[in-house]
Amino acid sequence: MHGTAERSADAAARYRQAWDTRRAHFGSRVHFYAPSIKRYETEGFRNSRQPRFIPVSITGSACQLKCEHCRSRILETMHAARSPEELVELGRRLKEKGGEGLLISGGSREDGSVPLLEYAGALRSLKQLGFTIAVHTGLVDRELGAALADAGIDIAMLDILGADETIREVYHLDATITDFEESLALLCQSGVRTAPHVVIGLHFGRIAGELQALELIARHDITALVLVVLTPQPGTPMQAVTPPSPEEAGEIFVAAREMFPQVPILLGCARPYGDHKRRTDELALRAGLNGIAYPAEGIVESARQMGLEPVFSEQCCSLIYQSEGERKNNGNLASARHGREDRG
Amino acid sequence: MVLIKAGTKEECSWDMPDDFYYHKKDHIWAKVEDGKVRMGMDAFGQWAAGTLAQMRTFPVGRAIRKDHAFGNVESGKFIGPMRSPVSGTILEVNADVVANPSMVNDDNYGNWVVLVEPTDMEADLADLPHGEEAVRAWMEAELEEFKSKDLLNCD
Repeated sequence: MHGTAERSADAAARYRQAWDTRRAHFGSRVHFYAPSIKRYETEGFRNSRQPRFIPVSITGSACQLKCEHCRSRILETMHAARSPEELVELGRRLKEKGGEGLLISGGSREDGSVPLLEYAGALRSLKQLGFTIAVHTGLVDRELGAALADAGIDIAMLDILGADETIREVYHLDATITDFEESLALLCQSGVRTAPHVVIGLHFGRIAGELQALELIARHDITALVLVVLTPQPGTPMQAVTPPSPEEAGEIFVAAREMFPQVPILLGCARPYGDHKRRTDELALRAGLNGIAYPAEGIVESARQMGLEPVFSEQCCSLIYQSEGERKNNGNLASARHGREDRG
Repeated sequence: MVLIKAGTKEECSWDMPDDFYYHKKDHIWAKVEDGKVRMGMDAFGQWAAGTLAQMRTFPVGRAIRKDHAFGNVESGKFIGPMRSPVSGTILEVNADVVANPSMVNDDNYGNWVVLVEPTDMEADLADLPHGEEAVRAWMEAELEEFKSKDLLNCD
């Protein structure tokens, strides 16, 4: 019992420290997001029924990796645009209907890349139409990094894995964590703003490599960090997996806040539903995260009671820099960033 | 039974019983049974939400109000309330469905959610779609709205 009490006191101290760090560097604003990926309505916040920020897959539901946790299920819920021309046409249509932003995603090839290169011109056209563009990149080479930078995308998102066994056993990918780090580095060097994602519990619900992933990310000049929690999907080999507990996820939240004191950290779209979600969201607030996508019922009010000032958006949470400003890992405002033109 | 179809995809075809009543916003059906009202999610509602992963309802004995939530659901495409077509008191909750909400996707009319003792049933049901003509008119307008927002991926 003594050990349990000590662990509990230690956890409480770490949460207090994380909270103090957040308040010192970010003040009282907390961001809540509900992009049009889901229709969302709670007492504290709802999104409009207009398509404002829309997910699009450039491969439809096709994906060659067939990862254990997804099996393309996530792609199935997106709009499909299987050619650059189709993507631009879809963009024009959505713009007429009030669309403001697009999440460009797609299934992976066997090497972990997403066939984005041929879409660079289309992405540039969508920027000219006035869209904010977030891109799920997959693994990136130098040519794609440069093409995304040239297209002027607003944020690149890439899952970073911190254990080779997870890359092999979950992604079925013949790659290592070094390949993921290299992709992140290439994006940053190309001048593309990045919001790497870490999926907590991706290794069949176990914590395995999350801290290593954070350490790897901390070596790079990222714009935001997005944490999500494994959500077992029906129809996948992981449907019966027990996801990490909210407390296990909370430990990663606290560690992330310690490692990234001045980088915005978001709790992204994915996490288990119901009571798990409510508890996870509470811990995210306590750990000083900067924002939450699709907050659980009651969380907006909880934030207010903690003295935080809610800010609502229908954008993707990775775009927090557009309202919160940009900081480098060492805390300098990004206006001092080298080699990057603000394409605003 | 009213059959509603859109586009060319087989999945875009929804049966809407014409002897039920419907809460238009949340696609909750209401069936009158011996003066009580059984409720669940209609065929279009469960299709639009996708596979339901989580459901909560108020407990038996709780008073509920027309147009206010008697529970909520979460899925990959939807997080939101289930609003009641009538005011009344919850008599029964289908615990199997609450524990396994994807049962609604398997059989949305067989797998009801709550049974309610209504307090003013006639007045509450009066303005809800009921009967073939009204159900079809409502659903056609609903499909137009979904199409106009590019939310109906049926071709």
